[in-house]
Formats: sequence, C-alpha cells, structure tokens
Amino acid sequence: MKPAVIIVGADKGGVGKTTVSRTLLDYFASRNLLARAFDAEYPRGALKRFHPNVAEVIDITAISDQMKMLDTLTSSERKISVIDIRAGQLSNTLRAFTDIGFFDAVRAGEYRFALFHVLGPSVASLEEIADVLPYTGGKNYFAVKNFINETSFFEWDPAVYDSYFKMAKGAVEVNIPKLNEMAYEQVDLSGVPFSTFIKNKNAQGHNANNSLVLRGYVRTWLKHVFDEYDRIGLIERMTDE
Amino acid sequence: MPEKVRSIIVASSRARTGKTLLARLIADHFSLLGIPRRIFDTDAADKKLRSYFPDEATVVDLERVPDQMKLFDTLATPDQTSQIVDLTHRSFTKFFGLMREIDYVPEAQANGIETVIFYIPDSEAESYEQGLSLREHFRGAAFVLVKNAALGEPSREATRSEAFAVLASHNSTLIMPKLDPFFVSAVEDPRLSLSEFTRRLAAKDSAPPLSPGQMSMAYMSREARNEIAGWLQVAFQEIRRAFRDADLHARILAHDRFGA
Repeated sequence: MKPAVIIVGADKGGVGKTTVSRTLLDYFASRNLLARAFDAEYPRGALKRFHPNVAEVIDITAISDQMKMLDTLTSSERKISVIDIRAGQLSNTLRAFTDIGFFDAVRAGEYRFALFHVLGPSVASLEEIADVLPYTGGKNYFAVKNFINETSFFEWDPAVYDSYFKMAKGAVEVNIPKLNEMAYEQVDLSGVPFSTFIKNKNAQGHNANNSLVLRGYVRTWLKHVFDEYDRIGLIERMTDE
Repeated sequence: MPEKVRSIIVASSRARTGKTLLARLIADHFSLLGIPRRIFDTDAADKKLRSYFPDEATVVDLERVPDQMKLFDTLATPDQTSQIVDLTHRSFTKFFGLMREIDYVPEAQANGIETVIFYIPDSEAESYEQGLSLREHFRGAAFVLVKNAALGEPSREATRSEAFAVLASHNSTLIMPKLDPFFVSAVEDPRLSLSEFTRRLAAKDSAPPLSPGQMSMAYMSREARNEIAGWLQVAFQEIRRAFRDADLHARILAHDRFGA
C-alpha cells in the first residue's frame, strides 16, 4: 500500500486541531488500518499523551526531524501518518515540505496526501484557505469546522463564506459536532483515546470507573465523527481500496 | 429466594396520569415487603414524590448532566438495591433518549439489574403511539401497560389507532384501581404514609407511636379507613401481579437469548 500522509493544521490555537487528530487515529484503528502520528507540538506533545504507542513528538522546523518522518514513510509498517502541526505553523510547514520535495513526490504518485485544515470562527480563517489550498492541488483538502467548543461560526457572513468556498474548488467540508463538556473533560483527565474511554478501560487496559452517562455521550459523538469520515470517503482516499 | 434487583421507571408522556401515585405505591409495596429500594424524583420543580419519602428520595434534574450521571450511573450500579424512578413527563423524551444513547438496558442487565417500564397512557391516541414506540425501542426491558382507572376511557380516536390495537394484546398490564374522590385528598396528604397505614391496620393496637409529621389514623373516619384499605389492597395486589408478569417476561427473554 502506498504511504499516506494526513496533515492536520490550523493557523489559530484552540480550534480543536489535536482533538481532530485523535479522532483520526481512533477512526483508522476502528477500521483495522495501522496509523502512526507525529506530534509537532514540540516540546510538549498533547497528542502523544493520548496515543503514546503510535505518536512521536517532533520538531517540525528541524531538518533532521523532517527527514526522520519522510524517510520512514515507505519503510514503516504503519502506512498512514497523521501529522499534527502546531497552531500557526501550517503555512510554514507546507513551505518546508515543498522545499524537501514532498509535494513533488505526491504529484508523482508516490504518496497519498490529505490536508485537514481546522478552521476557527473568525474571517481570517477563511483567508487561510486561499493560502493553503494550492498545496493540495485542490485534492483531499478538508475544511474542518469543529463545534466541539460550541464555537459559533456565525462570524462567517454567508456571502463572504460563499465567495471563499467558491474559490476553494474541491474543498470538502467536515463538521465535528459538539461533545458535552463534562465528557470531554473526563476523557482529558483519563488521558486515554476516545475509543478506550468508551470501552471503560484505563491506560493500562484495566477496567476504569468511568460514568456510564459520559461514556455514552462520547460513544454517540465519536460515531457521528466516524460517520463524517465515512461520508467523505476518507479510507478510499487514503488507501488502495 | 432473593428478590430480583430492578430498575423501575414509572413514565408517561403526559402530565397528571398518576405516575407519582404509582411510584409511591411501588415504593410503599417494597417497604412493606422489607425490600430496600432507592427512590428518584425527577421533578425538580414540584418534588412531589420526595414529599412522601422525605428522608429517602433523591431529587434529580435531568436537564443537568451531573444529575443525569447521578441517576443513570446509580441505576447501573450492581449493589443489590432496586430503584424506583418517577419520571416527570417533562423529562420523558430526554430520559429515554439518554437511556438509548448510553445503551443502558444491556449494561444494567450485565450487572444483574432488570429494567421494568411502567407506562401510563392518557386517553389520546398519541400516548398509545408513544407507548408502543417505547416498548419497541427497549425490547430488553419489561414493559407494563398501566391503566389508571381514575383517568377515564381512551378516546374513540385512540381506540381506532393501530398502536392501541397492538398494545391491547400486550401481555403485561397493571390496573390502578380508582379511589372514591372523597378520600383522595386524605391519600394525597404527605403526612400519610401508605405503608405505615397498612402496617397499623394489621397491627391494630400494638403499633409503635407515630413520628412527628405522620398522620394519625385516629383522625380518619372508619369509612375512610376502610375505603382506603380496600383500595390499597387491590393496588398492591396489582403491583405484585405486574412484577410476576415482568419476571415471566425476563425468563422468556433469557430463554430466547440463550437458546432452548
């Protein structure tokens, strides 16, 4: 199978980028696809906290770490790589990847590539789309609206919204619905993937004592997220299927 | 034989159908049998059931997630205690929606808890449709169709509905007998404990003194005492019968699940 790379980025912090990365890892696991992650929130790495076995913290600005990532794309048994880029570093990262020839390789058909652009509620987010879209060649560009914090996207005037999305031909919208705050907080406290929390297990695989109600909220929410990923045909886009 | 552990939900999609009265009767029935039970009053505004069991009932407001957790997490706890939930009609949709969302019935079952839904329709067709829908959504739970004799007959439109016809052949029912309206206010008085009343009738002179706040039967006329006693006897009989039917249902379900 051709290696696939998914970059998850945002130009603003707090839009739920790492949450989206976590759902992607859970999604691929649920479909029995081996995935790994690179957490570019160097040096701290929230993604690694939840998925310690498949996530690695890297410094995306360091050439050595860039090479570490890209050199192992083909050799790793985990063919899908999710790269969680630090807020504000998306454009820089895309430029750096261009410089090392990554996008040439994508165009040549060596790798599959998708960009999950997690958008914030301000109009500035819409402007980012124009900056970032060209890197994807218009393919596999996903504009993610994350309602998890109940952010209202009302700041997007419908006319402005339409004009930007008209520009972004081929952009596919993905909506991540809201998850109850207490449930989200509890998962955060437990430090395990969403799917592990739902199964009422802790990090060691033993029975946790999570609330039936909160687990239910997470289960329903994650199912909606997975339904979105099914709807956009994410598996088909990223694999040989 | 140890008493089965049950999660008992008394529900109706409409107001004033007798839910609190039935929940109270079931709680008193358990009290008379010496069966420990937890009591949940979900009407955070009126707290009527709590007024009958001031020291035992917990009030929960299902609009609040922490209270949802308090209720459902407790309802699924395997600690050998049955629980009775008086579900206010205002939280009908929220409660059963949540119950589905969290997959409550199988989880409770895994902890040895049987769910029993007592559903009280009113006279309208819609309440029969909602009752049928409820029964279908929670096939793992026992469903008891309650007829509250004090409510009057279902409307003509209701009797012509398909849901009514299907439910008419439902095998588990409970009839709440009607009490002469003259004595209703005595029964509704929170100072009257129906289980205490029944105990004292049986004990006659040897009963211990009443605690403050409880109503003395001496203030009740002989007619009232007899009427209420007769009504209670029928009501408790019906409740016993309903639980026997629910047990039978559970045995049939288990039989189907695990094969002949």
